[in-house]
Amino acid sequence: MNTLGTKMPPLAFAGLKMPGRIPRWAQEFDATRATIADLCRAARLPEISVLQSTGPRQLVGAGPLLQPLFHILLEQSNRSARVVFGFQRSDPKELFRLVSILGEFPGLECRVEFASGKDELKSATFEAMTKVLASRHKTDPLAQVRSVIESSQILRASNGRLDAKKIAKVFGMSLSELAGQINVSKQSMSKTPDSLALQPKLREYERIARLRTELSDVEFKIWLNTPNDNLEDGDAPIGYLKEGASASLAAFAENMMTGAPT
Amino acid sequence: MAKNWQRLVATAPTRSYQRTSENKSNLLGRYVSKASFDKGTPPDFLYASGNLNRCNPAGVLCVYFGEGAETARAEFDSYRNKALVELGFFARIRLKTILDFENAKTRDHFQLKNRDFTRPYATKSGDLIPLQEIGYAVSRQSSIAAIRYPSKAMMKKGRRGFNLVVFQDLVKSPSYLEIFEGANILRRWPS
Repeated sequence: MNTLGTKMPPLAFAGLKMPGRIPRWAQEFDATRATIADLCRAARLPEISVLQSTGPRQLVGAGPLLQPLFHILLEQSNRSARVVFGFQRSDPKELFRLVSILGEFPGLECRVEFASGKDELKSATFEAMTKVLASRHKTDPLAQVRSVIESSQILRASNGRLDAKKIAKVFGMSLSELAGQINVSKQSMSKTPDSLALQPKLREYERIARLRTELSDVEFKIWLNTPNDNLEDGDAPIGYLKEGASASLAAFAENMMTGAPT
Repeated sequence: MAKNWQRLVATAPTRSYQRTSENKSNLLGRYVSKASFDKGTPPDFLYASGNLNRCNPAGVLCVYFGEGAETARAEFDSYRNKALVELGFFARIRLKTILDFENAKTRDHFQLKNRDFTRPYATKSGDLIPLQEIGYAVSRQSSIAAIRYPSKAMMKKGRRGFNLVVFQDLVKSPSYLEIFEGANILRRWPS
């Protein structure tokens, strides 16, 4: 399963002594079974590791087993990987045991979730998957480059947010066209062109417009409207925008800008 | 029937790889536009952004190089129809295990055709192309650290050249990748 060039995060269900059990709802995802010891031997953890045990007490007893997991999590470059502890049951009196488990992950507490019972495990795992997916789009070293920051000023309102009207102008399109491409009504876009709700959708346009660090305004519009044999069906970049494929085009534009071989 | 890319990667022919010449033109290379990135900017964008590219889906941390200065320059030029002043970065590398698509047996193992190396990688639908599926499967195992594949830019010029994509998490000592600019080492994997 993939969406816009990304993949659902893989899940590993790990048990203390036996391989973990994959719940039915997880079978449609990329889920594998392992023991906690298997995970400790791996060079990297999957993006989501679900550690299953009867209750917190059993895991506290496994303290030394958790330390290698912490070190792997700390050292791997994928900062979005998360651990979900899934207990068959737990009791409020066992809170101190959860504190003890969390203590095995100093500095990484925000990447650890606890769940008790089947329903909570499902919710906690979905939440962890959502956070992993969201974090994939946060890696944006280009956003730190001075020329890129300067070039995006023209797309922003005075409050710093991306402004749909300004973006439409730079891309040489009407507000109606832009609204159609990102599936929002022209009225709402016109009323609040820098609304918070629009920001994620406008962000891909901002990534594309970074090309203006090396192209003049006219050259940028020519590039947008010229058929490109590196794109699907030799389409012009504007064709991608019209078909709602701004994320794919933004990835292409970033590779162009950073000279990444393709 | 959908291919089991992980199984194919696990059973693929592999080889070792190194580029450690003193001559920069024989090393791995990457050019970026000087207009976009002046020298005062730390080139973090170069290392591993997780941006979608030919051999990786979005979110997989890896870095791409052209093999040799000529291929790197051809890749840089292939995007543009005007000459730009560029900044060059180079890398020395020694890897124990890579997938090499110059090898016909490796291509056959994955049933890849020439078109798989030249087709547009940024699809409108967001569907992954076979090389991206392979890159994703590589990112999930622990022995293969890179993929070497033909350069489309060099093909366009009627020349032969290769690119290398290196997966950050999979470079383990004694293997290494060292990126430098001039005499300065900018980044070394593993750190």
